[in-house]
Amino acid sequence: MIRPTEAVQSLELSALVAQVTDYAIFALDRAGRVVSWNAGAALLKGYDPAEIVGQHFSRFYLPEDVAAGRPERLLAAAARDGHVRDEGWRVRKDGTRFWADIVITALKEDDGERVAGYLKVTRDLTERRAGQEALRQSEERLRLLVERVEDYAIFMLDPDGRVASWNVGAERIKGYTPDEVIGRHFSSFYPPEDIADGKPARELEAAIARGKVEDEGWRVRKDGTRFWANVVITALRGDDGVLRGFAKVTRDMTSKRRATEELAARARQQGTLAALGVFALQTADLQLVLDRAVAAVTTTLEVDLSSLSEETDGGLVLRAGQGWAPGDRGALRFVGSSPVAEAWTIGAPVLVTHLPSDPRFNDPALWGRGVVSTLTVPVPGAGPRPFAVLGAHHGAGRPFSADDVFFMQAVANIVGAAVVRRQTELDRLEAERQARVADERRAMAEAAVRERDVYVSVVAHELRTPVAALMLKLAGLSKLVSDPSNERRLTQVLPVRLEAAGRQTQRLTLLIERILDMSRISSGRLQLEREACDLVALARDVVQDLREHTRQRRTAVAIVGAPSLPGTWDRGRLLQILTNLVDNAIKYGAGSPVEVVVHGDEACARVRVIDQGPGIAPEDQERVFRRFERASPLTQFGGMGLGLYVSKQLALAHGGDITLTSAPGRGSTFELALPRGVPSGEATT
Amino acid sequence: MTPCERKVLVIEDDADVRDAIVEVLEDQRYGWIAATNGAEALDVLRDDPEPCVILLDLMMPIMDGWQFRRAQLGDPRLAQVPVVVLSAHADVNEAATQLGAAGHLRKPIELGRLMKVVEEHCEPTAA
Repeated sequence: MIRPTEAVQSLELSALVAQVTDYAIFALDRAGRVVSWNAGAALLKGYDPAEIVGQHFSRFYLPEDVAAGRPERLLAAAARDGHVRDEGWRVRKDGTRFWADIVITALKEDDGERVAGYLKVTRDLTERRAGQEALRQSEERLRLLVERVEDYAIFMLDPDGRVASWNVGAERIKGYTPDEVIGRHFSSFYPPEDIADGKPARELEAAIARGKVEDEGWRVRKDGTRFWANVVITALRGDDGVLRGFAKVTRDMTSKRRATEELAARARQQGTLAALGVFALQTADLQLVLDRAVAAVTTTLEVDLSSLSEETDGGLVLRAGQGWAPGDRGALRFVGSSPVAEAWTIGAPVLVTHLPSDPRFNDPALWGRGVVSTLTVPVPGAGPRPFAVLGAHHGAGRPFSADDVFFMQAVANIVGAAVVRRQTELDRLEAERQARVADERRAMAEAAVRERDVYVSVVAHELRTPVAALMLKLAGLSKLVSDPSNERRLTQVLPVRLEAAGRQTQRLTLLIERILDMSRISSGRLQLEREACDLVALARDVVQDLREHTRQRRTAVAIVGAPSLPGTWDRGRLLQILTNLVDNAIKYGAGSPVEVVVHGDEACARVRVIDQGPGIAPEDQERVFRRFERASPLTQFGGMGLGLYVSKQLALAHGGDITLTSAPGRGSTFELALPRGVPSGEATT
Repeated sequence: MTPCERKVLVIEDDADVRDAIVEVLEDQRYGWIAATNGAEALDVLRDDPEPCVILLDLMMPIMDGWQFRRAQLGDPRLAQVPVVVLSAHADVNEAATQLGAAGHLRKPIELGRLMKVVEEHCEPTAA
């Protein structure tokens, strides 16, 4: 314990103290009056020793401190405890304040009990005080700033990784209040797989090694949901380099990441649409386009099922799709209150987030396949109604975005354009087909007109020759009659000539009759007058009638075969057929003998007319039965070219036929085959 | 038989036309021979004296007018006999020239023209 007297009396010390300028060192008596005053005190407080010695030290205090009894309380504390330390504002002689650090030491009497006085050492800390205050305020501002930051979780970890501080942003992003989280290890913010992988510890190690580490990845909130975080961990060290802990700044990047993902998804969708559009343009087969479209939906939207359902009489039927059972295509129908049918009906997209609980819909086809969310859009067709409905269906609740709806509509439009293109193509082909049919009809009509012209010309030509002969005959007769000197001769020849003219007229009538037959056959008005007759007898009559012709052509005609062959036929028509066949054989047989072979069985009668003429080339054999056709050149022989055509039609009307066997140089055989009885359903007239 | 008694040869396959011509010739007291084609005509000519004129149809079976004309020109006894071509063809004129015929009659044959042609080459037989 230093005694005041000793202290004061120690001259050496006294001299030392007197020279101290950095500290105000002075002594007080028991009552607190100034006893000594050094240079430092004079400098600090502004009083000369003469002015201040004997004055009470309370004048160095602020009036409010004096009023509060602070000087006395400090002296009392020093008396009680030996010394007291204080910091606070003090007042200089000129009234200015300074921040003082003081120590008051009690000086005891020799007995060591009673207080003899006090030694007071005062230091001016005004500058230090100002620096500390600035620092304190700055730290406070920073703390408030950090605490109030909402967008970033900013918190401190101790060197072991336990949470030491927690801001509003951390609370907002991670969901923990400071009470819940302070002291908790920061690894609880990581997903289990990262914890198992040792990632939290690795990140702290990296921060220690490199000072700072940055990471992006999934983090877990208090409620277990995940968010995409950008994390910066900074190692904090003291001036001595010792690790004090870590500052961790975490930002929730989920929405930014979603935006990035949406951009990527949109780009992917656009790429898919472009590829699908090109494919649709280059592919003629509509089914291939539909298959590609549903594949694009499945892949791009990442859904369990895709569908393209076409409207048919039986409702909307699955025409293309992915994820369905084998056999669903072409068979599966979306009936009742289906989102597929709904899109078709309203002609607009239908979005269902939770199908099982949606009261609007009850679709067994989708419900039975575990579909929860579904997006359906109409596919435009060539007409006002949609062609089909495109659908994307997913089991777990997949949220469809506006982009997804646009994507589906774009796919539907591409498909719709392909449908319209195909329809246009079909319409064009149909128009072409109709134009072709019209062309063919016109060509046929023109051919018919030409054929009629040929017919008229042939008929006119054929009639002209006999009419001309008749005219010449009548002119001759007229000349004979005009000369009375011919009377005797006239009496002689007139009956003969009139009879001949009559026969000619009859032949002309027959010729006109044949022409009318053509017309009857063409219009289906040919009628048979059946009666019992003998084919052999008819053949004989024909050969008899053609005697003149036979003689002219020097042709022998023989009838061989059955002596008699009765049947029920139209006698006149049969004579017509046989005359035509035998006459042709004489005409075209080039003088070779003609053989008429008559034979038959119970059902069928046959007449073969065989000549040894030049024969008919195979390519001409079918033509000879056509109208106006002749195997030999028109200029060669007379005749209308109607004979075989009419004969064949007459044979057909009898239920029979005429066939030809011939070869060039080997003659021709025409065979008439006739059923002997009356065909059922045809009455004898 | 004097040259005046020479006959008209009619070669025509159509019986009606042939008969009509023959009747007219008969009425005008011309002698006549008839054949239904070229071959028959050549047969007839073998036995008969040469005719004053030949009325030749072109289109006939067995031997047509052109074939007959060739055969006729090849026979010195017959080559000089004049031929009048009968045809319904529009170009009968041209055919007549080609065949070196003395004339032609277009069918249908008019009585006046027929008589004129015959009168030109023949004389009627004495009654």
